[in-house]
Amino acid sequence: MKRISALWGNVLKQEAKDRSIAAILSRIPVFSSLSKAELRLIEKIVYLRNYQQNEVIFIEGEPGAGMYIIESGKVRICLGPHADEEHEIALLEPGDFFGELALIDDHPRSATAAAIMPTRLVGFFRSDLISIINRNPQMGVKIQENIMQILVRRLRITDQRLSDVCDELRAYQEKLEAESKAGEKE
Amino acid sequence: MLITDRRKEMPLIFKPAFKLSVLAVLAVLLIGVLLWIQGLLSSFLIAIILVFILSPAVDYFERRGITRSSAILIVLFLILILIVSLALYTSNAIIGEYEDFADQLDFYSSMLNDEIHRRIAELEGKFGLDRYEAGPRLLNLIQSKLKQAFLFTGATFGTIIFWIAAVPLMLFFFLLDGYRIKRALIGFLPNRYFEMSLNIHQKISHIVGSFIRAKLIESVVVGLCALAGFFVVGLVFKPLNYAFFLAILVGLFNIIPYLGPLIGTIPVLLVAIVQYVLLPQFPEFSAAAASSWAPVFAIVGVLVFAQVVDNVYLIPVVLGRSVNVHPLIVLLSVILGFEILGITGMIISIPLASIVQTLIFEVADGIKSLRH
Repeated sequence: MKRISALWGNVLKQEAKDRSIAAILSRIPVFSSLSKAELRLIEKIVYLRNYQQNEVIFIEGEPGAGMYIIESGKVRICLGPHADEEHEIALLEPGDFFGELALIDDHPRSATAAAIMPTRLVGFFRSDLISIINRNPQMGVKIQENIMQILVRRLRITDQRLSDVCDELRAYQEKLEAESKAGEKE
Repeated sequence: MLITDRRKEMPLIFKPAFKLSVLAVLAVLLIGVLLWIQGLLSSFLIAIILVFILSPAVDYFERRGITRSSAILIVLFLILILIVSLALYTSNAIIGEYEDFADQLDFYSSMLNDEIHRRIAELEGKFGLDRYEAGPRLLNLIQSKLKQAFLFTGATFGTIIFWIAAVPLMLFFFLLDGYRIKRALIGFLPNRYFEMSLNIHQKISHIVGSFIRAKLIESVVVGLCALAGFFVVGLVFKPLNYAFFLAILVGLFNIIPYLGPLIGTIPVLLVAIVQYVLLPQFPEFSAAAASSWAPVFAIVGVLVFAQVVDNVYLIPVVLGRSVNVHPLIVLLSVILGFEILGITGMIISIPLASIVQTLIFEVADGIKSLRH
């Protein structure tokens, strides 16, 4: 089984039941702390985008504009410009979200996303977040706090993985040293 | 699957070419309607510029928990109060000065013209040259154009009435539903250009918004500096005629980068030279006062001081990182604006030029960064 990327895999996945936009949004950690009235406002702001099978959503290296939530369909996240199975780092399903780092700045996308079947996405973009912060700072702060929590969670997972890799490397190094010592004795 | 793979059998309304063609047709229709009805285009452009200026104020009231429509009404009401109080307290002085200035402009220009003709004739006599007609003809041409500019004759009374009726309505509509219009337009774009357009829109709003607001602040401060300077000069020497109106012209023209400060200097110098140097030579026109260049130099000093304040203190602080408009674009847009709408056209052409320049640069950047 492929190893899911800490950045692109949905580390906060929950079971989806209700499929309305507001319900989908309420299950996304970015909007989880918003009240029903606030969610209704967000519902009016988000964009609904339809993608055909094999259609690219964005490509690694392009400036990012915001995040997407999958309403229906499936999205493949790949490293590099090719959206094939070989480069896949995550396969996302309805209720999953991706690209939330682009809500912070327009740093180039760190992966490519493509729909692998007819897919409907809910898009929430940085310009809308800035507008919310200007017009309704309380709601803006809640969303930013949620984004921060996601980033912290991803950072902790990455940290843990780095620590695991370091442990593995240390063990491998010790093993190599032991082998070379045994070789010298022989 | 390669990134260039796309499904061929998508419905017509999803095809990028179809979507882009529909948008192009809508844009052409909109421009056609705006050009067709007189005054509509200028009202539309003025409303767009005012949206950039007033959006932060509307956002401010909205942040206090007021609905957007009420926030817009409050801002428009405050502006109305400001205009009415300005009209009540200063209109007599300013409109009086304007009427006097309009009456006297021909007299002032002809005095200066005669003086220049006399000097040219002297030079011709001195060096034995033939009459050189191009100089005076050019002078007359500049005089007629400048008169049109300084007296706001580019906009007719009918146009101004149309603005008073149309601009507040458009402004209210754009401030309230601008977001929905943007959402509908960007939402209609093909997936391929969708994110790029969002990024471009965000950058344009930011850059153009700060540019227009900065220009407004700059123009008010420079106008006030000039007014204060004219009063000080007036205390030391004789008060400068039309000081209020001339300070407004200096502030307004300062909106135009590079050329504006020079154009704004012309009416001030015209009045100052005629008032302080030429008129005192004719006792029948003026009370006994000695002809002197000192007040003229002092007025030039005031204008230079206002420019120093603008360039050294204001521009780095208020204009900051927002991009300035390229000199060539300034020149072209000012000429075009003047031909269409006189002084109003010259002044509104600059924020519009900043929108067009940012749009071109950002679209070019966006297309470059598109990798599929």
